[in-house]
Amino acid sequence: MRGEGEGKRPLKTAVLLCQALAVDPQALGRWLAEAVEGTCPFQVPALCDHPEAVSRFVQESGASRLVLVLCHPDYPRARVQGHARKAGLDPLGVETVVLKEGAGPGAIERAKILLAAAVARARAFPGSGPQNLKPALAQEIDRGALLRLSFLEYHAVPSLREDLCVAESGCRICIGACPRGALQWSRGRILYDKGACEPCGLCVTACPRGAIVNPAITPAQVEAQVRTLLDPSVGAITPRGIYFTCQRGREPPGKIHEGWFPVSVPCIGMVTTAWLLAPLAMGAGAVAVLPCSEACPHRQDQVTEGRISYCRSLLSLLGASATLVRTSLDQPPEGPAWRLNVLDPFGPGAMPRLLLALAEALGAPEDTSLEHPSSPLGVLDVNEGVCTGCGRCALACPTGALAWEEGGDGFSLSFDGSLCVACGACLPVCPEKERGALRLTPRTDLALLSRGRRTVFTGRGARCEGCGAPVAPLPMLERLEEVLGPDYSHLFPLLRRYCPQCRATAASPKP
Amino acid sequence: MRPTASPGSPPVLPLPLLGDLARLRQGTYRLLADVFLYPTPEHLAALGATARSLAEEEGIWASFGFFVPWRRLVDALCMARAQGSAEGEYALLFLVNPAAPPYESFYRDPQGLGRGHLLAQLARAYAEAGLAPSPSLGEPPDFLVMELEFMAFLCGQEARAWERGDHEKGVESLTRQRRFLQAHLGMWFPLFARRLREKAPEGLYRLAAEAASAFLHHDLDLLRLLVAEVGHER
Repeated sequence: MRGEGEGKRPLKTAVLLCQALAVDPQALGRWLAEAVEGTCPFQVPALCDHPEAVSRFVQESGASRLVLVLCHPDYPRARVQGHARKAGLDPLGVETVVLKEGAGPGAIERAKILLAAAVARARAFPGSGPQNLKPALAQEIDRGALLRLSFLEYHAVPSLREDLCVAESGCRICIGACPRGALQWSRGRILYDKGACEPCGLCVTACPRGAIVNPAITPAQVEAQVRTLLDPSVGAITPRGIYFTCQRGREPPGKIHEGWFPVSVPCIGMVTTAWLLAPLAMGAGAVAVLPCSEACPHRQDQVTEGRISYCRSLLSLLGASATLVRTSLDQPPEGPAWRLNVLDPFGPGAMPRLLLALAEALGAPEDTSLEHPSSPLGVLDVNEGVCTGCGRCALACPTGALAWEEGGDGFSLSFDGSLCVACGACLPVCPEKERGALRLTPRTDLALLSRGRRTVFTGRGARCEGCGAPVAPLPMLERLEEVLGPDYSHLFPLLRRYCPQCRATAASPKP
Repeated sequence: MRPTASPGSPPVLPLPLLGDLARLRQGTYRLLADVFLYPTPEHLAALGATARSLAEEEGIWASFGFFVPWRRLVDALCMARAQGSAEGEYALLFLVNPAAPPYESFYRDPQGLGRGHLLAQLARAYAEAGLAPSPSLGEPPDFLVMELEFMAFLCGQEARAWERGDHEKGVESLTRQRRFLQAHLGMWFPLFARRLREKAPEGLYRLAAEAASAFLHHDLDLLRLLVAEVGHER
């Protein structure tokens, strides 16, 4: 932990430890100050009853990040947020850790790991804007709250990065992911209804371009948290596993082996296949997903089952044990604990990087291929005999997996399997879909991932006799003539010989 | 646990709190409107005095999500007169050949084709509340200050309704505020603030735009929440 962020000083982080913790807060505080650079631990008697301690200690330490270590999860959120604001902090970046069990050396080691991870996550908080705040009435409104007008608490909601969003090309992936109908497509833009949003995070991980950001749960924060949870230099517990748990869920039932560490998410449905594989690549012995204690309100149970099934099949094919992905925590998370160097493992487009790194670590054959309905990657086959090279599929592709290029005497369509997220946006726009020009298979194909971009269609093109600009691919013009039929044959020469601009001039009557 | 509102039941939030909240919002709108008026030394001195008294009530303001940019503005207002740069800034940004014109029609109707319709719409909204733009101000109805002042007026109306215990009028006023904010300030202020950020990298008006932007964002969300909770619109 000492070498963290070398060359850059870690953000000063105040850690307020409730004195009523079952784990010795003094020992924890001492360890933090010594082992995690830039932390300022404070012990606070009855922290939940004295949220004003937040502004006092943050101001005293000059910290720009805050972690609260509590003995139970119910705390006066509205007042804590107010005091964080007063101290100049963004309350959406305040991390909380609840430490309940306390006896034994295992408990303090576990607490160290959880605390260090919360500090790492707090430091990775990107900051938020007014668009990320959704006010709600506080759960507890007492007389004091009325006097102070502190009856609102704020939840983090996502916002859209218009510079990354490709709704203009017709992409609607986020809309399909939203279970509340909070997103709508209108004239090439995504409209977001904050009132309808119940921040579940599904749109955040569904967007293949990372255009939807919830500052309270970004890929960078999850990466920082998981990396620290798995850092062997923090705490003395081995083996370690990561389990994803729903924020609304109750505590996992049954016995939990001490090596399992939680990553809490707004909804399990936001845990993609890449999120399941990333902890394994980063050194987890195993990874688990705990389904909601009741039925998922966002109906993500089946989606999650599909993802687990995909990961298990894939790991088996790669030569690892399918039990690396689990749904219970009673067994120790024993496993290979690879420590692979994968860039941005929780970010958009991480899946191919993770797959290739895992395949290399396992020595999997290059031709490994898995067809699975939950495959997060797709393979597009183009029927060259039917495709006319019009390029509409490439325009609709949100990730750039399909690219249409004009060059020399012709046109070409290329496909990069590492970018295809099997969203299917290319299919409905294809004018030749009835004739089977495109076929998308939810398939993970290692060979295709390492091969990069390959040309899937080439066609000679017609050039404008007027200005020399490309007109269209010849197969497209031929198909157009076929569709128009002999009744319009007088137009054919004009279509072939001129670009749209010159065509208008050529078609107009000469004076 | 907080009780849940249901149709026909009294509001979850007590009326005095709703009244206080409306007064607080009224004051905020009024201050923001004042900030965007021409900053004569006397005006700046008055703004500074208001800001200093607001700074003393920091605990209350910190309860709201817009507090951080709001405090930056309050701090800047406390020092604005001493710094003496506000008049020059104001002239560059909002007066002759303005960098960021503070008028709704500039942003919502850049071609100017529907300006008359927009101005008539605003005048009608003011008239429905029994108001008319003051000729002494010499500004059209889409002037930023006028729209902010109108919101302050509606908040004042709302506060009086809660203070009288008139639930129906209170809800009516909340709904009217929400409608006006959604149809006008909510539509163009973000564009104005963005332009101001581009043209004025620092200074009092940059801070004012940030604070107003955060406050208006917050107010739209708050009105949605209040109309749902108090007006039982679910």
